Amino acid sequence: MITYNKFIKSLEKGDFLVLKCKKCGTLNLPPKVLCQECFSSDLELIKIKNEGKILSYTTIHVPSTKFKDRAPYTSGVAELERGIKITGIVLTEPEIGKKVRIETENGTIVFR
Amino acid sequence: MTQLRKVGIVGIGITKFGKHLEKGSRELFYEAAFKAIEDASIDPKGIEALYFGNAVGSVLEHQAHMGPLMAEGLGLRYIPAIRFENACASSGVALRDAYFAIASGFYDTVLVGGAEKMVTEKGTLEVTDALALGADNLFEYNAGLTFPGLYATIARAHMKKYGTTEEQLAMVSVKNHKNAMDNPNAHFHKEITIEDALNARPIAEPLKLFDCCPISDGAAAVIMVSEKYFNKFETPIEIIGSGQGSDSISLQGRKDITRIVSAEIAARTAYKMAGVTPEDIDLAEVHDCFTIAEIIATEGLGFFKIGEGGKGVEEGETQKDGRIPINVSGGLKAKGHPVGATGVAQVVELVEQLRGEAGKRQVSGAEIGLAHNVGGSGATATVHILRR
Repeated sequence: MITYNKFIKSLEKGDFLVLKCKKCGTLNLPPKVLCQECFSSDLELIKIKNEGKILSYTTIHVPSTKFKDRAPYTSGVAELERGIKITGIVLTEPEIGKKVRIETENGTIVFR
Repeated sequence: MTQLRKVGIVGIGITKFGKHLEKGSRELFYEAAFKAIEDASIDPKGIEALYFGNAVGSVLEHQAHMGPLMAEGLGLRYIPAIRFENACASSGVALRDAYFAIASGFYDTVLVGGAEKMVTEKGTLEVTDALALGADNLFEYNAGLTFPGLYATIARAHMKKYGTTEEQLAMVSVKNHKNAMDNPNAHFHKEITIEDALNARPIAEPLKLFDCCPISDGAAAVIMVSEKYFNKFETPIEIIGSGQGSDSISLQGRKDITRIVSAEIAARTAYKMAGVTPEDIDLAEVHDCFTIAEIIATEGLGFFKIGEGGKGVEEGETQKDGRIPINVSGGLKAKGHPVGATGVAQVVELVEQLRGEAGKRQVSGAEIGLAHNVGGSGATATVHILRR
């Protein structure tokens, strides 16, 4: 099974890994053991383009401990191809619908 | 489904919500539970099990294993006592499981409740971290999202898709602060204006201070009995519908981040079981941890079409004297949100209303009430429908 750690390590190299269902074609974000749409366990690891569009975002003024020295900062959710969504820190001027690249920065997912 | 037995609520107890500097969750729960026992006028020896909700005590109080701890102070130390943790829906889930245990014929009398101690020597950072336990640690906490941040992300998407405005969000807060004026147990007794809400400091944009519920201590409890004892009580309030749903714990795992599908599923189940429709509901206590959450709740429960909840509050339909009174208690926003207590606290309000004992808050002629409790940003939701 592809773990979260392996997913992040691959993303560090620019590879956005997803689990494609061989039965219905749905893309599933790891880690998963069954397809989220059809319950098939026949999942194939594929790479998709690490590009998406900002679906929504927020600028956080009251942070958690991990990000206390960073506030205010912007976090958001981006949508990649075929419904795959990912959460990250937005390092570009945020706008809904804006095209971003999904990368990592010290293990944290960021949008540039 | 096999024939379920009737289940009624015959005793209620609640503490004041707010800052209790001298009390932890155990003292708070003992107080609420004792009031519920007194209210029901039952012999505590007859209580067969305790179903208890708590979300973040493991972190903020360094205390887990709270079921037996909560039973002990009430002299109930030999009965089964279970702690439920489903983030902010912890006691809604506890209530539902207690319902199953009675409806199925296993128990006849149980104590259900929840408590949360949130105001500690620890600061906002620690509380923010503790609440974030209800989100996806790997994908959301690691990407900087806080609880206000999650709902702010939902809010911005809802605003973009449906034209919901910051003014409409503010109107939810103004209404709930106004409602709380008549609730002696509310955290806040302070009316605010739309300008106050709009000009408040940002927490997670577009949400500002008055879009967010406060950090509160508190506890709530109810005594539930089977039909065997139902008619021994003067005004038993029957649970006629119970529903629960789940969804991806993270926003990124959901199909549409402007909806809370878990609550829509819970509502469908509860309405079907109760044999009622949204039009039959006289009042609802909904999970307004943030103002946007109330708007989405009123849509998901069928009081407004999807996307029209903002318009609904703007047109006054959710006011106490409106078409569907929402959060006459003041809601989580102004009554307060000691997270593990909230699900049962909503039911306590409904029971007072359906008994006709809600004083200045009374919704006249209320016969059917609905409680909507959400955990996390919507990964868990419960809906309960109660009838006089």
